[in-house]
Amino acid sequence: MNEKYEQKRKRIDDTIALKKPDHVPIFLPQSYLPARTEGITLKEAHYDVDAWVRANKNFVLKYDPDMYFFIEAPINGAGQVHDILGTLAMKWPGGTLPDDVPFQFVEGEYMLQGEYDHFLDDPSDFLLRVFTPRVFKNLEGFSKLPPLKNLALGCYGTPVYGMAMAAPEVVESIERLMEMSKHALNFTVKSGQLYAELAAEGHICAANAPVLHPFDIISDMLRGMRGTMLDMFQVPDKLISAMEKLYPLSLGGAIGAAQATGNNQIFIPLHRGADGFMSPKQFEQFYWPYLKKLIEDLVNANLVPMPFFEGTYEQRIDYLQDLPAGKCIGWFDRSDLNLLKEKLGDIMCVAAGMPASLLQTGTVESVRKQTKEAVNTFEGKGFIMTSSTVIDEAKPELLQAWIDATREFSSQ
Amino acid sequence: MLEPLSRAIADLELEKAASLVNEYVDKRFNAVDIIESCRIGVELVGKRYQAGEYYLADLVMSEAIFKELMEIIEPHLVKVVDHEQQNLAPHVLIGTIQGDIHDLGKSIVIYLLRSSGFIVRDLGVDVSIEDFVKEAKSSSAPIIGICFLLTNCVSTVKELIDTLEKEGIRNNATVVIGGYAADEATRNYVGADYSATTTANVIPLFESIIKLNEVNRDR
Repeated sequence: MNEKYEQKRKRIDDTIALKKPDHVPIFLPQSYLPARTEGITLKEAHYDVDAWVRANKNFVLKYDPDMYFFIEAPINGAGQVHDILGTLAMKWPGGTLPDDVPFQFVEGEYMLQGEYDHFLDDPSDFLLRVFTPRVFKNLEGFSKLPPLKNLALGCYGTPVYGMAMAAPEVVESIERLMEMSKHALNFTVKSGQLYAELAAEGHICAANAPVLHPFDIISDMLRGMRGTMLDMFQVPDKLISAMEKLYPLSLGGAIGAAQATGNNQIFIPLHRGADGFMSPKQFEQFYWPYLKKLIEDLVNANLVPMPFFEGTYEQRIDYLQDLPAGKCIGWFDRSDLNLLKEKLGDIMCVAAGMPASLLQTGTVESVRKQTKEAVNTFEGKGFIMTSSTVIDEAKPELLQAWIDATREFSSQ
Repeated sequence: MLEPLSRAIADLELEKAASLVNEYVDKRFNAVDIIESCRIGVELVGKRYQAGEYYLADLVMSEAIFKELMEIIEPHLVKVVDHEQQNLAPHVLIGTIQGDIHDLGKSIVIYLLRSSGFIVRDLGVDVSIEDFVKEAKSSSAPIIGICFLLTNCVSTVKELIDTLEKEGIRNNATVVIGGYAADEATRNYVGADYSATTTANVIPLFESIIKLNEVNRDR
C-alpha cells in the first residue's frame, strides 16, 4: 500500500491499541450524504450504481477522512434487486417511496411466536419456505416447495422435488432470483472496485460488512421489537435456542466477509441492547453473553470488532469493561464522553464526539467548540473523532470545519 | 377499585390478572370498573417506567396483558369507551412527519399518554404539513406532537412549525418533537418548545405542559 494509506493505518492502529497517534483520526460515516454533495437524488443512489460510486469517490477524495464508511450502508442492495424481489420488509426511494425519501425498514412479526418450533427444528426450511415468501412477495413460490428434509431421500427424493420444481410459482421465484443476482453482482463488483481505487489513493474503509447480534437478527428481521420483547417474558428458552442457532451465522458471516474483502474491521450495529430497551436482568440473560462472545471470538480470529452502541450505553458500561483491552473500536452514539473516557479509557478505543444533528443545524463556532471538548476529553489518546451516527444530511462548511478542527486541536 | 387486579397488571402477572378478571366477570362486577382497574394497573406500569424501575420491554408486556384482558371483558361491556369514538376534543395531536413511516415510538407514547388519561388523536405516519395544520386547526389541541426518526425530515419539521406559526396555531399550542433525531440541537433549529429522544419522560413532560397551559389560561 502507499505511504498515505500506511500513515492513516498506523494512526488508526495506534489508536485502537490505546497509544497516542500523531493526531486524532477522523472517521466520516457518510451514508446518504454523498448523494447531496453530488446533487443526485436518493433514487439515483439506489438505482444508478455508477452515479453512487462516483458520488462516494468524489466525497472521500474531497474530505479525505482517516476512515470512510462502506457505500452499501444506506442502499442495502440496489433498487432493481428489491423491485425484482418485491421486497416488503423495507421501503426504498424510487421504488416504494418517493424519489428523495431515505430507505426505511418495515418492522413486523414475519415469524410468529408459534413458529419458533419450526425454526428451531430446521431453520433453513423455515426461512426458505415460510419467512422468505413473507418478506419478498415475488418469492411466494418457495412456499410451494416440499420440506427440505426430503433432500435426505437422495435419489429416491427426486420425484418429490421434480413435481415441486415444475410448479409455475416456483419456476418464477427461481427466475426472479437469477434476474436479481445480475444487479446484486454488478453493485458488489463496482463497490469492490471503488474500495480498491480509494485504497490505492490512500483511503481506508472503516468496515465492509455489517454483522448483527443474534438477538438483533431475531428482533429486526424475524419477530419485530414487540415480538422479541414479549418472547423474553413468554418463551425465553425458545428465544435463547434461536439465538444459539443464529450465533454461528453471525460469527461465520463476519469472518467470511473479512476474508472476502481483506478488511479486518467488523462493523456490529447494536440495536436492542441499549439502555432502556430491556432490564439489566434481561440484558444479562439475552444480550450481553452473545455480545461478549461475538467480540471475543472476532478478536481471537485476529479481527477488529467495531460495535456501534446506538442510543446510550451508560447503564451497560460496566459490562464493557470485561472486553479484551486495546482490541476493538467502540462507536458510541449518545453516551456521555467523560463517562466513556473514565470507564473505557483503558479498555477500548472510543469513536464518538460529534452529534450528527449539529452538522446539520449548528454553526462553525458550535462545531469547533464541540470538537475541542471531545478531543480534550480524551487527551488525543484512544479516541477516534466521528459523528453520533451515520450522516445523511450536513452543511458542507460544517463538515469541513469539523475535520479541520479535529486535526487542529489534536495536533496541539 | 379492584386493587388486586391493578397490582397484578403492574407486576406483569398475566395469568393472575386474567384469573381475577374472569372471577370479577363471573361475579357480575361492573365491566367499566374492571376496565378502570386495568387502566390503573397500566398507569402504575407507566409510573414504574418513568421511575426507571421498568423498561420498554415491560411496557410492551403490559400492553399485551391489557389487550388480553380487554378480550375477556369486552363481551360484557354494553358500550366500548373510546375517546375517539366519543369525538372528544383531544389534548394531544400526534403524527409522524411526511417522509417517515416509523410508528413504534409514537405508538409507545400514545399508549403511555392514554393510560394516564390523555385524549390523543393519532394522525398516523407520513403526515403532510397540510394535514397536520388542518387537524391542528379543527381540533384546537393544546399539544402537537411531531415524531421523526430520520435526520432527513428535520427541514420538513421546521417547515411545519413555521407554518403553524404563520397560521396563528402556535400561540395556542405547545409543540413537542420526539424521536431519534429530535435532540436539543434539532429542537433549537426547528423552533419546537420541547424535545424528547426517548419515551422515558413523556408523561411528566406532557402533564407539566397541561399544567402550565392551565396556569397561563387562569392569568
